[in-house]
Amino acid sequence: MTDLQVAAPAASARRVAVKRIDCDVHLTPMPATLVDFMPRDVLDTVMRKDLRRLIPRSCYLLLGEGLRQDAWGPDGEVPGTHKETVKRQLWGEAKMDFGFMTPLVGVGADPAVNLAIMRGLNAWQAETWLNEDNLRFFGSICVPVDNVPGAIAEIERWAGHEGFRQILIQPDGDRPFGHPSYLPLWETAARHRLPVAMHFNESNRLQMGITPTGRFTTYFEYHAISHPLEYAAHLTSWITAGTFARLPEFKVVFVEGGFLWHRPLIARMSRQWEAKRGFLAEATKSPLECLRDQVRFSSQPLESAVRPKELAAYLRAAEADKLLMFATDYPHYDFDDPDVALPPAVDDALRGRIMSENAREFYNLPATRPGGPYDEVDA
Amino acid sequence: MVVDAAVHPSISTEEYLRRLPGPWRDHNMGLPTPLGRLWETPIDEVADLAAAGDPERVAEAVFGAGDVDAAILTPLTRGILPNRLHATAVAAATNDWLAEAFLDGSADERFYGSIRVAVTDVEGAVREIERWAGNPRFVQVAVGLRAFAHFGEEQYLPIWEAAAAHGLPVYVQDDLANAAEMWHSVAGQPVHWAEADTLRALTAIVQMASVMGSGLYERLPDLRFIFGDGGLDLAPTLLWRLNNDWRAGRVEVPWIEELPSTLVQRYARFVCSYTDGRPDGETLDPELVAVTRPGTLAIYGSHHPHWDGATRAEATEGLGDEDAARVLAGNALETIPRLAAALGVEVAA
Repeated sequence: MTDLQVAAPAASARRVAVKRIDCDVHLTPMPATLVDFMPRDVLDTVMRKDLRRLIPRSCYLLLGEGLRQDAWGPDGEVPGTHKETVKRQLWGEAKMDFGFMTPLVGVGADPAVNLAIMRGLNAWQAETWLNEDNLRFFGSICVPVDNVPGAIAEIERWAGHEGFRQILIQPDGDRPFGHPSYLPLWETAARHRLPVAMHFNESNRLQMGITPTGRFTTYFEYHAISHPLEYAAHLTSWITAGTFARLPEFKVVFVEGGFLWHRPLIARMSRQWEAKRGFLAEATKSPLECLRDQVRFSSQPLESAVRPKELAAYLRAAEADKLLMFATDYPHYDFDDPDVALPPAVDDALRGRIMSENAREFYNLPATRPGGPYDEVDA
Repeated sequence: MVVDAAVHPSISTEEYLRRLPGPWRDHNMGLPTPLGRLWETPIDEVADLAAAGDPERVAEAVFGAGDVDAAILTPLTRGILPNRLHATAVAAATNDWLAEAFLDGSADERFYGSIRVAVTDVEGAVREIERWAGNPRFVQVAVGLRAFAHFGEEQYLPIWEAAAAHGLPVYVQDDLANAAEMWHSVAGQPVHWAEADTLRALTAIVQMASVMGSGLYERLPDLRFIFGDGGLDLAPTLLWRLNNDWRAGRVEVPWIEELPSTLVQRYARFVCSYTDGRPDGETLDPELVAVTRPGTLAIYGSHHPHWDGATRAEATEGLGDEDAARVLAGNALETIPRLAAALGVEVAA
């Protein structure tokens, strides 16, 4: 069999069943690339072409720059920037059918600069990855939460583009996101039926490692606990403020912040909602209904129990069959390999829900996709 | 045998003003209200604070059913106070009141107490532990959940050393809100009390993780922490995350030599919550109970007079006799040696 015979028929005619969807793929332009897509005014004046701020910086010890060391490109391209390597590893090795792009760029304290950075990211997505592969990558409209009018304008700019299937925000607001000051943003997202994905970032705006009782001193604590803290604050806020009840089309995805922690908190909140609803006048929808209808979580890094059966029990109790969507976090060091991330104790039905079906239903994606050059020919 | 490890008698402002030294008394230095003032709270509806300050009425509420053998009293101290001298003065006045009204006088002999200390004043906290350590009715040290730095930070070491030296576990209890504490969420101040109440158990896990990350457990092998605001069912999910980060980044915390989910079993216990093992808030999930191991990690406490404590039936639902006995008394006696001694119970070391 020659190369020509493999490539020619595979691309167009054959359809492939969708079995794996990756909800967290970090494809991010290098600063020198991103600036070509940013609005010139802010870049030339306020930023004075200083691009250093675009690189997220952690104050904590981070092994191997946080990157998969086998994901560097052939000429030293940073992981996630070399197209052939990305496609070989995601479509070929990990056998993903679709991937959601979650570009991460450091933001700062100036809302105008943050908006300019996000505008650059969105234009870059539209003109690069979203033109490839018959739309196997989906884009995220990146918006700054500290610039609500700018964020709304940016959603309006891209909402009609078929490649963008969600909005991406960072969790660092000034108040938890049920606060009325953010409502216009969620109304815009709901009107366009675009889910809002939340992903943390080691940005210059966040007070890194802060908690209500101090500051984490190690990456060990910070990485394990900080993001559940942030996401729990927003989740409980949206529920109690009645945002989900008010906007039935407003949907949220919590990315890379864990999953199982939500259930004990929601259990506590449910009991309280039943007993003391009078204190929550606008929360007309129960916490569990909010979750089932409007909230999803991405899986990586999956909480790996010491005894896999315990993980399976917790996944079931936390309704992973509805709420959990698989993600790899490619190309970061703690990439979850789809072949082994879910333990054998997770049965096939639940596995199918997590690997593809929950995301397919949530994002309204097709059940098949065109075959591509990285599919195994005999598959 | 049943031990109620979480009872919160309430000291009135009048009692405080009678006991606080000047200038805290003379100039009414802004002692906050008992339940804080950030949010409307369901606690106001149900908690009879006057009754919760009266030893006879507390005894009736806690021992009335006839099955409780001992109750550990942890009064709240009006939240975190920014001036460390003020904070210790309030803690000391609380201890004076507790000793006089509940422990040393004519009150029920089944009452035991917590030595309240202010973590913002390390010297004062150590002094307060030393002042009461000779009184066998005080069986643990109690600190507020909230602080301006995590409990693993080096500055607190003398407090934990003093507690460990006297065989006193450290009981952590949220002192509610007086607005001097940092925001109740990492993403800014929540709008509703329901949010703050939900996030409280997470904050307990933050302190647990800090103590673990700091290596404090390795330095003070006799130290025990009891988390009064629950977290039993939350702990496994976040300990599994900590396990992952420990496996990847041991170089940063070389003093941790075993899985965090294993380590915690030696050093931490959680007071039962009414939602433990109930993923919808109501219905017990037996498989979840098997994962959270209340027989090893849970201690029963009613949180009287607050509305949201677990009942004894809720705390033991779905458990075999042995585990139920451990939740109701065995784990508390094992973790609080002075209580075991007072009750004449021998506990294996």
